[in-house]
Amino acid sequence: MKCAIIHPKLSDYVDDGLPPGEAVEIMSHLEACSACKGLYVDLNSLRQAARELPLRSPNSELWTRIRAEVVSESESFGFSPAPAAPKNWLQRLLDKRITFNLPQLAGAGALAVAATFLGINYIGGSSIAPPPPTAISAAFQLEETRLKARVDEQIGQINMRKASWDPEVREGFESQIARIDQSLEACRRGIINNPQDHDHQQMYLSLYQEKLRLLEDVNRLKW
Amino acid sequence: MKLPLRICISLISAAAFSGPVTAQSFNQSFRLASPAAELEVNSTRGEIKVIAGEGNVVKVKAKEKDGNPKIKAEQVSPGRVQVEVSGKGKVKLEIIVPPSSSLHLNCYDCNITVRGITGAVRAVNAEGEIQLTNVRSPRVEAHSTSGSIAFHGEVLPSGSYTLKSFSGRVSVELPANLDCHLSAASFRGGIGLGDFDWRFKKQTDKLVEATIGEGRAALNLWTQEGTIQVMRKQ
Repeated sequence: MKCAIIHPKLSDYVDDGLPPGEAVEIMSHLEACSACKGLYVDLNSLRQAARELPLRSPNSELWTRIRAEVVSESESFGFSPAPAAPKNWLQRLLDKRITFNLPQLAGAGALAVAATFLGINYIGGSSIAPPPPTAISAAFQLEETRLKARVDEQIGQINMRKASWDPEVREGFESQIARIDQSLEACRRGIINNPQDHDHQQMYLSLYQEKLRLLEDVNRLKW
Repeated sequence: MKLPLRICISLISAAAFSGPVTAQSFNQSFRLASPAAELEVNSTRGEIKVIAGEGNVVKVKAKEKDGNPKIKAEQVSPGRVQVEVSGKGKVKLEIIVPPSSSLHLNCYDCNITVRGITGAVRAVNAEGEIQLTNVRSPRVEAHSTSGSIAFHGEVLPSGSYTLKSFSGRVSVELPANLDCHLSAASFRGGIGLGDFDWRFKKQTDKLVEATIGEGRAALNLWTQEGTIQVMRKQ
């Protein structure tokens, strides 16, 4: 898969909105392409930061101005969709009257910068060759997707309460999650390098299950 | 009619003290309808020690170590006691229960010790050691993120024993007449299988599947970054 095909799908990938097979292909590409990986990390950071901010509703006048600006920006970079194509993140955003908070609007500005980068790369037709498609089993991918959804749900709940935790505990928790994620990443690389390595797959899923267990047990505590 | 009256008194006293309290030290006892008790503990930081005692009584002792934590202990049904520690600070809990009690112990940052229990045990933490000593339980589950887990006890026929730590050491000391199926996995640390006559179904540097005896009990050991050590009781 080429970068030009990856870019329009990255926001859906960040939102877990892609079918498992497509998500795995993008994951494989990100392993090999540092430019796309950097963009993915930026988008993910923005998404995480936005989730933790308090919600505020803009008035209708502000919303109209933002909408006009975003439409203008997207058209200038060739983001107008084909009529029959499935709607991507940007189109869905334009279709919906959603609640934004002010810092999220600031984040939208940053996203516009990212969109500029995307547009330039899209027009430029970057063609870093990713590794060949892997043969990771469908059962593994399904289980991974299921675990990821449950982990994301638990993390969402923890993020809503984490501000009230003892700072020392919060720091320790974040450090542990980061270590687990590093280990997951290392396992994932092993699986991509050798899709037939069932031992790696088993270790990876066990680790994911333990991460989920930790999050569920932490969520049961009253802080 | 002696027993129901005792239960009534204990329920009334439990209700009277059921609100969370902030205390330097905390003592409370609950009389249960039968020795088949269930104890649930949720705590944020400190220590949890659960020891098998005598009779149908659960005794909860708590000592605040620092901060301003709130402790709530209540008998939510004739056979079930819940202890909850919330707020910032550390609490050292020492709880005596009937030996056949089932335990659900959950703490973020605690050393957890369980001694002499014959009921089902689930002990989980993120940080701190978990030690299960003289346990003769049909079902044991212990999970830690960075702490080590040590099990010294019996493996009952048809029992299930799951010990998992992300980065801590997992060690088990088992009797010579072991009868179980072992699944052990260590991604980085290595696996030591002790002086047992295992029949291996699979053995790599990371994963082991093996049986001893008829393989009736299930022993499941896992650590991502720590070591696994199976030892034979002398």
